[in-house]
Amino acid sequence: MSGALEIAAVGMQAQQRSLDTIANNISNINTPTFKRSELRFSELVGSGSADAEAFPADLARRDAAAGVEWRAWPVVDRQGPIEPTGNARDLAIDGLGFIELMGPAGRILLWRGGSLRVLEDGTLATSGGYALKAGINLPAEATGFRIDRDGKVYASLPEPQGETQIGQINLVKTADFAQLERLDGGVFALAEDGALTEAGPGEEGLGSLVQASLERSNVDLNTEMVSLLISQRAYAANAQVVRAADELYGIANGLRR
Amino acid sequence: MAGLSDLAASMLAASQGRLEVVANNVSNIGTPGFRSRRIFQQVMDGRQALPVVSARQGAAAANAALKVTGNPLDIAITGGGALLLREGDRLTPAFSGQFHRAADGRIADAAGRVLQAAGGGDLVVSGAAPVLLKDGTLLVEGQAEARIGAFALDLSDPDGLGLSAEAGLLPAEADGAALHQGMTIPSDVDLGTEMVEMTRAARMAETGARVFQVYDDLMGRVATKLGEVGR
Repeated sequence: MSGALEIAAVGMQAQQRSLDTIANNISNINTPTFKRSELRFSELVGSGSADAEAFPADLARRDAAAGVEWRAWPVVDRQGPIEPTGNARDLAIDGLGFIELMGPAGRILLWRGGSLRVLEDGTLATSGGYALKAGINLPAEATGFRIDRDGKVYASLPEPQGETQIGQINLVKTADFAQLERLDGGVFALAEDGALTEAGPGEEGLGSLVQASLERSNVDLNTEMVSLLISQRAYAANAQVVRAADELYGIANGLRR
Repeated sequence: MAGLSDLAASMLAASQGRLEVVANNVSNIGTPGFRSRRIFQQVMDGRQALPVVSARQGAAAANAALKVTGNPLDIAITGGGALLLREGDRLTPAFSGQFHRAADGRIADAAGRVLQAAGGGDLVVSGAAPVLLKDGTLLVEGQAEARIGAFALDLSDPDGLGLSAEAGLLPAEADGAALHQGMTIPSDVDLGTEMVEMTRAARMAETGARVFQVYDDLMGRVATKLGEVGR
């Protein structure tokens, strides 16, 4: 009986979540490697149609409508622009691959690039402190390192060794971006049943590595602003439905004087 | 005379039914491919002449406006066909969807509904970014791999909905349907229409209430008069 009220309430919730998502996208517009999320709506159909026998046909069909359903969807497969920073410790991926990291408790995390850091024991890690799974150790006497597009890592050592290769960074990709779970600090975790394909950079469409650059967020302010306006109006329209439903119940309640 | 109170009650119920349809339309204003339900008639009950609300999904527009999203697996269909999505063992028609390639190569939307190929069955592609031709053929690295089914569905016919995947009965393929990649069909909900419908529902409820009050007054007066006669 309170169908209209509840459907409109669900609609308001959906638009509220849409506003939250847009707010999060806009606030991260300057976060390197940030991937925007979008809310995907689909119509929610209640189980009313299953009881079609019990109701008159037209009534059952009307009751089958039960509002809207939504899911937040990170747009991971859209590349952000790559911007040179001149800092040798910045690393970007030009393509759709990920770099594997050793997370807490041996969990593999996926990283879209960002700022690197050399830990005390010489291990190459992200600025968040996760070591690269490739296990690259920079010798203590090295004055710097270089990563080429194919993922080979070279250390600059004093003469006579000169530049020496100390490791190789490979990229991985997932068949289904829906299996990625977003964690804090720009890293992703793979769902337990997810599979990864590993390859060298530049192979199988994984992209190549670009040192001294950062990938910008893939947020487009124009799109966000338009979505913001649409969500706001849709929220107001749902609120109007709530008011109209309330009015109807008021009339029904006023029947008995 | 009891007819009047029944009429008032069913007018109130019908106005709520109208509002539910409006509520569902408005809450789906952001759902791609959504077709708003229209209240199409007030069925009169033969004996009592009571109004009953009935709603139906609008038919597919032959020339729907498309919105470019750039996502390669956002798919829209125009020209009178519909896509079929499988949810468990139930098939639902759709005019547009935002899909992704699941790990097993099937094309699914955010709610997990799987896109059906021409001739039935789940659509499977091997590459993450297939190229879609107008006739529904999906190319992966230049090789045709699968074809998306464009089915002729009469959505104004309630029996055309609620198809069962297990029964294996598929509607015929649509002629002249065109599929579009990287586009969605925005929801066709028109806020103006919905607001008018909402006001109409409120006025209908008010009228119903007034009818009931008049009936109530009459009955009260009758009771008083009868009381006077009996004295």
